[in-house]
Amino acid sequence: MFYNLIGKYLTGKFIIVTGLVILFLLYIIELFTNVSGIFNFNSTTYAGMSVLFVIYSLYYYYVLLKSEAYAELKFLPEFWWVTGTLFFFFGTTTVNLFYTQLSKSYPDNKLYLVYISDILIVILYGCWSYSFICKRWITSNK
Amino acid sequence: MDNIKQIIILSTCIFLLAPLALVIYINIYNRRKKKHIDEKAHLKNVFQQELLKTQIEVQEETLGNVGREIHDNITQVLSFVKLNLALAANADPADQQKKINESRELIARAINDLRHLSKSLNFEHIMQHGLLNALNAEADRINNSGIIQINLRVDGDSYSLGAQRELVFFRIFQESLNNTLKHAGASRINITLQYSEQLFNLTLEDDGMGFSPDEMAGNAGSGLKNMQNRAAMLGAVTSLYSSPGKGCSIRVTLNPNKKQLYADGNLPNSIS
Repeated sequence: MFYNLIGKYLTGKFIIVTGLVILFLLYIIELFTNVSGIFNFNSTTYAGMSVLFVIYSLYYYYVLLKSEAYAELKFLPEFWWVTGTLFFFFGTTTVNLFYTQLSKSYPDNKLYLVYISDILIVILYGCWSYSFICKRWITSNK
Repeated sequence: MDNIKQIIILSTCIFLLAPLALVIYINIYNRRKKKHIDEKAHLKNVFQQELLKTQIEVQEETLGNVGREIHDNITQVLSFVKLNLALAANADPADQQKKINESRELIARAINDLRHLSKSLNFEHIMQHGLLNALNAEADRINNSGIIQINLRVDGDSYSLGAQRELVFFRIFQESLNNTLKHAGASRINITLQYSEQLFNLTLEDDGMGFSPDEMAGNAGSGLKNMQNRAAMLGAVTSLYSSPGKGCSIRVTLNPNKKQLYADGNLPNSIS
């Protein structure tokens, strides 16, 4: 998806492939260092993915603003898709940071993290839904 | 325990507010971009209109010159030829031959003048051959008419400034020449074109009666203002030096490397 979005403004192949390679390496390293192997939740890879998606989102914003053409953001599906992604993965970084420690030392606090996750999911799907509605508007107006 | 709760809430707020702030910033930036694009389009529009006006004015001026030239010069010459030929009918053979030869010379001169006129009438001819050639042709025409003496000097190697800019410079020259002929009572105009890598200068100096620029600012001066506005549209700066009894000098300075957003150096399709 990011390849398509960034590719609208410039050749984003190198950036996307580099990110995927980093993620794959992280996953391999985590796979072999974890005791439970493939059955364990790979939190480092997930955190890496979150950071990568945040970077991609910010990069998309950058190329969008740098572009000479003007786009009405209110009705731009790509913008809302990226905004949802940014909110979710930026927000889940907090959850990731606190999850392991809090769930071990204070099991009750897990509830707060669940609330945060719920809010983030609502934002994510809210933005994505609106993005698809915008896409529908654009395609039906053509 | 409470501390941890606070930390969780605070960091969550931060992690939610940061993207929100970013989205708001992007929205504001995007609006500014729209405003900038609209302004650019508006300026481009104004510039194209002004350019069109300039083209029409150049044509009107040229047609006016052609009309005057035909009336004052060619018609007179041809009338004289007509009279000459009428007189030749009743003259003795030796006189007849003299008058016919005289008439042939006059007709040749009229043909030559008409040829020059047809060149100046053709607007595209002016712009295709560049500012320098157009100014040279105009200076020759004026010098031949004997109204005023024009000296044209070129410093540096000449280069093209782009059709749009050259057209505006030509119009500035025409306007300035008109002002000099109408109001200055000058006997000589010095035109200097200075070409360098970073700078182009067009200087028009006359030895007329001059005026006080401060007084002029309050009065008519619309021709001068027009010149300044048009030059400003190209990114050029107009300087005016004059004082009573000491002539007038107008200098238009342009950095040829500086590109205006709306002026691409080509002519619009409207007239050319």
